[in-house]
Amino acid sequence: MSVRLSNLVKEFTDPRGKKVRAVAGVSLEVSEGELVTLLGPSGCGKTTTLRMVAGFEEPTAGEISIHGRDVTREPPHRRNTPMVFQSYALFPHLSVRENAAFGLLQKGVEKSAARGRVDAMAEAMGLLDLLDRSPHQLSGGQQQRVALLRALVTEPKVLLFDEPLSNLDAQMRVAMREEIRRVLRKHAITAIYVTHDQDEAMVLSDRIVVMEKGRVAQVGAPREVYARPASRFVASFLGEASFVPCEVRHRGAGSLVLDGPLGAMAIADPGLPRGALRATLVVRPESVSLAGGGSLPGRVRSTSYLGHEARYEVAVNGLVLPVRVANPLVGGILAEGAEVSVSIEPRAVHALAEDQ
Amino acid sequence: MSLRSDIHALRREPWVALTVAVVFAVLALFVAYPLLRVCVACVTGADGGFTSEHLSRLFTRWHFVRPILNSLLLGSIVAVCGTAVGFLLAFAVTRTNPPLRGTLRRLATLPIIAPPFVIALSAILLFGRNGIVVRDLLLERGGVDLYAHGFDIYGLGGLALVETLSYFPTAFLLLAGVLAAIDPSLEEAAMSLGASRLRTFVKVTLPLAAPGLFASLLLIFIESLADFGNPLILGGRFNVLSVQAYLQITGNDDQAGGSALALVLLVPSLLVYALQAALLERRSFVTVTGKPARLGGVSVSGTGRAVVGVSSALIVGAVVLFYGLVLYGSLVTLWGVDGTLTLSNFKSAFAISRRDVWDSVLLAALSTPVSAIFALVAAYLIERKRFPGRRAMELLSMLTFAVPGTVVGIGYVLAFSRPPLVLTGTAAIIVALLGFRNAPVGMKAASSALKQIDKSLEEAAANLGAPPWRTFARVTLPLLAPALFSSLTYSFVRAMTAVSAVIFVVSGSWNLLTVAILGFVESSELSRAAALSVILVAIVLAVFEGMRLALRRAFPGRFSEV
Repeated sequence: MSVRLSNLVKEFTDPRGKKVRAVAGVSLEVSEGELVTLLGPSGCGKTTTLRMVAGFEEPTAGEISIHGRDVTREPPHRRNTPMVFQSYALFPHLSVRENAAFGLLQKGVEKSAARGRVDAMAEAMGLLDLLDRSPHQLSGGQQQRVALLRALVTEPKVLLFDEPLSNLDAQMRVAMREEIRRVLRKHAITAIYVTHDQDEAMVLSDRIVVMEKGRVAQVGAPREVYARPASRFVASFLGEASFVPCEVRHRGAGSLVLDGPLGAMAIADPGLPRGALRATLVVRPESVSLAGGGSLPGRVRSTSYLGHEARYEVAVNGLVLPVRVANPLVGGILAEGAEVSVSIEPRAVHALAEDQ
Repeated sequence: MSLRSDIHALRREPWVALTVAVVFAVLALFVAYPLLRVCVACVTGADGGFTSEHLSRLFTRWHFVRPILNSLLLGSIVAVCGTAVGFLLAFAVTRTNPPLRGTLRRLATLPIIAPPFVIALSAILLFGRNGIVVRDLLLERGGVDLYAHGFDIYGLGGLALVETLSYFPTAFLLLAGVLAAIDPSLEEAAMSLGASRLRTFVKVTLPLAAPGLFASLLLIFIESLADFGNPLILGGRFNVLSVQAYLQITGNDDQAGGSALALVLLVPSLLVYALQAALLERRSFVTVTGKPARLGGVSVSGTGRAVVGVSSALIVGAVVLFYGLVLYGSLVTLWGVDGTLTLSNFKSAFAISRRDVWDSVLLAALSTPVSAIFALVAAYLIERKRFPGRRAMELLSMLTFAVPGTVVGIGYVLAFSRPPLVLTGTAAIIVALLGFRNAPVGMKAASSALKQIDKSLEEAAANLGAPPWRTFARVTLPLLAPALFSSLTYSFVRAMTAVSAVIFVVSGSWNLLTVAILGFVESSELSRAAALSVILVAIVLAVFEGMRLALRRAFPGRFSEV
């Protein structure tokens, strides 16, 4: 086990002297070479958790161990957990090369050896030309790649990322997240990555930790968290979802028949509590089809055309469902007020217990 | 931005052209002309022709060379010590999250609003021959006679101590700003890459603060050079430039020699001023990111925190001790002779100097609106209008702030004691001097407030049909008011505590409290001097706090601290 957090708690005192729990008992295990993202809205405690792993904040309670060693009270410089910051945090008074070599020199690596390692890593990342520049001569994307180089070159035990892409424009963000994934896989680096961007989390992660109000809401592979969210919060934070109240009609071995405004539907049992009479159906906009052949009559309330897809709001049996249709030019774009027949793919829906 | 388009803009708004002309005329008369007179006096012989005699005295006559060397030495020592002390406190406030941070900040800036020579007075009360430490503690209790071992509070050592305590707040304010602007992520990045706290401080924090440290060294050097009150009281046989220039003019009636010495004071100040203006135009070295600066954190270890905390407490303690001592001194019947406590000093000092107190308050009160109106008009023109010579107006109107008081004082004496404009001996010369000398404070406040008021607010008013004057009166002015009023308070305080420039223009009919205090100190009436100082500080604090409360009430949430 590379990193283990047990029951981490962090309390801050706000200016009025009130105690605020930023992190309220987080436990997590990260395996060797795994990339785990902490995902959640601002104020959910993800950054505070990361800063405790780095040693920038001291936990109020709980333990942190890295490679089996308890580092809870260790100062940051004895943890070997370099961080890539949102602000890049390149030292403005040092050149790119000096920035990159900073960590190696702190470890007592000889200057010439450090230079060799920086050059080799920079070459692999295509940054060799930038080494003699000063940080302020670089674009945002270049600065972030230098920050990554600076952290990687120290061969960290764990690499930490604090929303590293949020200061970049959309195109650069996509390119950078591909690059980060490539580099981390190549060097098999263990990493904890904080973000509030769900796309980033989906693309990068081996596992996603969704956080809410200082607690872990769900941990799982991206596919799992998206397809089988553990709560309404997770379902609506990762992607879009409609919540449809249903009654449990029948329960078989591993399957379930629900009845509600969308009609009766047989789905895989997500493990509802025994004897549950009611459930909430989670319907993603892309699992609703308007292509015809459906049994539910609906009416298009609004239409938005986005090029790669069309989005509709469709009124069905007293509900308003958001619907996405990819490649809309093929089937034609529906006008507002159009009558449609709605069908829902039972393999793509999920059910939550009533109180989840 | 061309000259032609500037002139074209003026054509469309003739009232702007008129105001610009008036402001330039006023600047020429009360800022440029006196300085010019100083320069001219340096090179004018007794026959009215050109001579280099006075300037050459600066390098050849020992009583000219000596004060120059002394001033340079003192300035260097104070610059280093003051910057070190200021940095320590700034570090404590921005990096260690100390208890009572607000109080610490307040006490550390106390010397800025107090009269400049009060600390010197306290130094005498503590370390003079009859001082508490020297006589009461060491001689009478411990049997050690410091003065027999060559110690003397009058001179370089005493001055360095007193000026360090007087001027470290400059470094503190500057460096607190610099340190607060350094992104804490940089220090965290260094630590996460394996640098210990000490190495992080040496390799990251210190280099990033270097430009600020350099600026602080320069500013304090200049402040020390321009200081007049402390060396007059505490210089002893250690003569410095400002005091020598004063003595040359008032004691030896040698205006040319005094002017030549003043020129030596003026040149480094102008150089630093020019350097600062040039640096401000370039991009700042400090990185500022969107994330709010976090306080505290782990960048300082427990031991470091304790060391910084204890030394900060000692420094602030010294400041409090020095001011508190003046209060004690004012209550002692006769310092060094009769130690019983009494209020009689207040009675007698007030009886002697009652007119000086009223004159001080009256003249300061009269000079404040002069500062305010001029500052407001000039700042508005510079920030919001385009006209030829805009930059020149900016530099010229900030100039009196950079020029040492002694030079300004000599300039006013030279300029207004002979036709075309004879003002010496009147209240007008004092009001003008105080008013224009303090205007830059208001200008800075008004300028930065104007920069923060988005132009679109004024455009919105115009767009809704308000003519320019109404836009100014109904939109701009109310938004400026809090900043302007708080800087006015500061102008008033500075006018009350001024000494270096006004000492040249006071007269029998118009004298000032500060000058009266210096008089008592010179005649060794320390208890009376202390009593008057207490009265002065009380007036200043009352005005300061009163204005602060009034502003808080008048502009809730919008009031910016000075």
